[in-house]
Amino acid sequence: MGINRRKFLGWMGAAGAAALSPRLAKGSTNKEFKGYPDSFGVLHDTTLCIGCRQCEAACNEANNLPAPEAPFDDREVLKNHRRTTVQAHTVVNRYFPQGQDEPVFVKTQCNHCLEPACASACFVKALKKDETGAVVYDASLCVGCRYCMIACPFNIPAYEYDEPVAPRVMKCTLCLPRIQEGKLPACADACPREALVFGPRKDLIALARKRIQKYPDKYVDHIYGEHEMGGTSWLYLSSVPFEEIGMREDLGVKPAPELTSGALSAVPMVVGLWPVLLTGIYAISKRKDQVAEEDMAKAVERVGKKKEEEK
Amino acid sequence: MSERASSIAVTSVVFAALTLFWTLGGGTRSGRAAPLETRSDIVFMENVAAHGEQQMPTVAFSHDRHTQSLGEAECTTCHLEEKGALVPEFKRTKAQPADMDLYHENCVACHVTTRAGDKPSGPIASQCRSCHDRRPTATVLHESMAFDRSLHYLHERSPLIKQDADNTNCSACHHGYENGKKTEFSVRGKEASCRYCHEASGTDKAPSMADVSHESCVGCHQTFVGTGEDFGPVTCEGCHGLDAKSGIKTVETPPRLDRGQPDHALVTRGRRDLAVAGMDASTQKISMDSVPFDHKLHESTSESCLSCHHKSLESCQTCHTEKGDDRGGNVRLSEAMHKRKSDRSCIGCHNQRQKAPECAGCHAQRPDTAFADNACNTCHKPAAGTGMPAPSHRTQFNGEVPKTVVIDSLEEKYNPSILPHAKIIKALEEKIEESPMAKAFHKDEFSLCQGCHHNAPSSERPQKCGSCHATLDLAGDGRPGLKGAFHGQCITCHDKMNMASIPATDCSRCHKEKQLENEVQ
Repeated sequence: MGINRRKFLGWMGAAGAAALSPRLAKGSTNKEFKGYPDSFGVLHDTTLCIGCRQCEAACNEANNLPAPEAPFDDREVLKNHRRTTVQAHTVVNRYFPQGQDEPVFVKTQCNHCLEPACASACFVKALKKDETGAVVYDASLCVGCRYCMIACPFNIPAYEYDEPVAPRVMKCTLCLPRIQEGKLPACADACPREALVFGPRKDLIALARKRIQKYPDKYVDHIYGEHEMGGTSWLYLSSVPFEEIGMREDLGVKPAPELTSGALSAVPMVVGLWPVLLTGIYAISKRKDQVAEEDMAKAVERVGKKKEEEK
Repeated sequence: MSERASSIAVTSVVFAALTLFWTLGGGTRSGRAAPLETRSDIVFMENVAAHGEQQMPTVAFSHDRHTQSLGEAECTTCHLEEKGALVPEFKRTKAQPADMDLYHENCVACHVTTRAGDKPSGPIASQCRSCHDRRPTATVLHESMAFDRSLHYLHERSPLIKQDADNTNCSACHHGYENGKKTEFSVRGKEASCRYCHEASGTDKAPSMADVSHESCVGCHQTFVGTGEDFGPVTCEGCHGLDAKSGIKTVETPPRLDRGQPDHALVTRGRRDLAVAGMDASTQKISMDSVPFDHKLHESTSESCLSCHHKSLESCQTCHTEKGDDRGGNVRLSEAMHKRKSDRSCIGCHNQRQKAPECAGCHAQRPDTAFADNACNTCHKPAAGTGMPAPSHRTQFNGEVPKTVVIDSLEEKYNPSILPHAKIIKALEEKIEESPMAKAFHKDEFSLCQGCHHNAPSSERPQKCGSCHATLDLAGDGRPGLKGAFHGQCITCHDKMNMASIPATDCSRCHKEKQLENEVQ
């Protein structure tokens, strides 16, 4: 197959355009995204939590979850550390930090990250970040691949393995229907100590800073969730290092989507450029062979003609 | 195996290995679900690590367990003697470096011989992880040994300690330091705390407090073992255990230690400095009144002289001058008296006392910077004709303390709560009566009300909590909502005053749950 100059220049132009596209793709990864303005969050002050588990009970009721084996006022369950499950969007765990006699109680649930890893991993957009700050799950779109469970740095989503027909991924919804009505999420409403404060994320950070400033001996000078994984909607205050209350301090401040945006942005370039380049190289090398063949045929013909003339 | 099968096998193995690596190396939640056992006798053997890379976890050595199992054996079984004193290091002098082999050979050798004698013993050579435990189940917690006035008096009058010519036994422990050597006798009237020279870590001049107290104190106690006399502790637990105080005799009111100190001292800001600078005190303006410090009273309420005299037994103003002096570490007099976080300033020590359960119910909830408007008057007393105006508001409560208060402002799941108001006030008043310090600072009877009825002017009919607390004021100063305020105030007070009988999670203790209409009985 021959290629004329116009076609060659055309292909090179296209290849060049494809090569430039990664820069455009990088521009659209929103490295500077700091969350939707006025999005909500919850401030969990672990120094106030008494481990009464009223939040678990309220969540169970508000989401019509099945009743658990042990009732919510059973404190024996605190002996072991639990994780969120299909029947429990949230759990309260008890920790014994070093150097302190009293235990610390911490509530765990989906942190509704500003740039969620689960939403980034979901290729069918079943998990989306809503303007209110909630990371919302749409079961009708979900294909059950469970990439979100692998992606979540906090190991929160749970999957209905026992459900044969329409298994769902189960996690905290930030009570989206309730907050859209102007009510508080069920857990924040139920907490007797107001260890869970619901409000605009900006205001919660200001409140957390005020508390740290007012009682500097009481709190570790860090708001967990302010920057972790690019920022989460759920913020935590603690009197002991966060590592000692079961919260990972090795996550860094890069949002999860940013970790993969580099590799993903290279895809258009690869898809656009490589076929063109490789085809071009193949064509050029094939052409070389073709020319060699034609020359060979011509030479054979000449020799044949000569032989005929000699005869 | 065919080539295809073998390549599949290799790929699966690599895949499995990578998966394992990433799942196990990935984020697992840390944090203990059960509290760690604490012992006072654990010594972490960290000196070997100083000599290179530490390959095995640090060994947590339990000293008391070993002394108990060795029974009647001498300290020299494990410790060498140098110049008549025991070296605290294990089987070597301070000059010899720590060596892994030294520990392995000696420790394990002893365990092996004990086992050979059919007795239970520690780990042997093949059981590395029994000593080098990556996840120890016990950690060290020592109470620092407080040699208070009572203990000092017991030693003073003890017949077991050798007496000097003047019938006192001060020189048995107190000594001087001259020409690079310890002197045999202490100069009478110049004795001071060991800690003035023997600090937490040793220097060239003076070994560390730990070393000398173990050598001198425990060493002396050791000499009485088996004699049937009453002597001091010889185990780690005996001095440093959490419960050590119960095993040691105490004298309730030891007689005053005589060192020529005054009964009252006048702490005056600036008068001395003015005199030194040659200025006339009567013409200079001094804003704060002097503090007539009751030295005699404070002697009886502190643990020892060291509580305040942290560097020497001279007057504070000798080093802590008004403008600051090198000798006082440039800490000015005002800072030395008022620094909140210090354990030896006046305010700092008073703040420490507020942490006691009798006081913490209210005091733990007040932010650090809170100061009552008349707090200064308790200490700074005006001289006649000069000084600060007396507080303007009344200090006597003439009203009626209500017997009970019904808190019914928030009822959903629970019935109203009946607060036994008079009972609480009476209990707090009784606690204040017991403490002269509390009485001095609570002369203003309204100050007690401020514990709960805070951030408002004191009055006989304080306002309801609901006048300021509604929903959590997120946009404003962050004050809790009414529910949070009630629970916060009550639960925190019960918690800080160690009232284990009223657990925070026992909701019906304070307010009975409402019976729902459709509930089947």
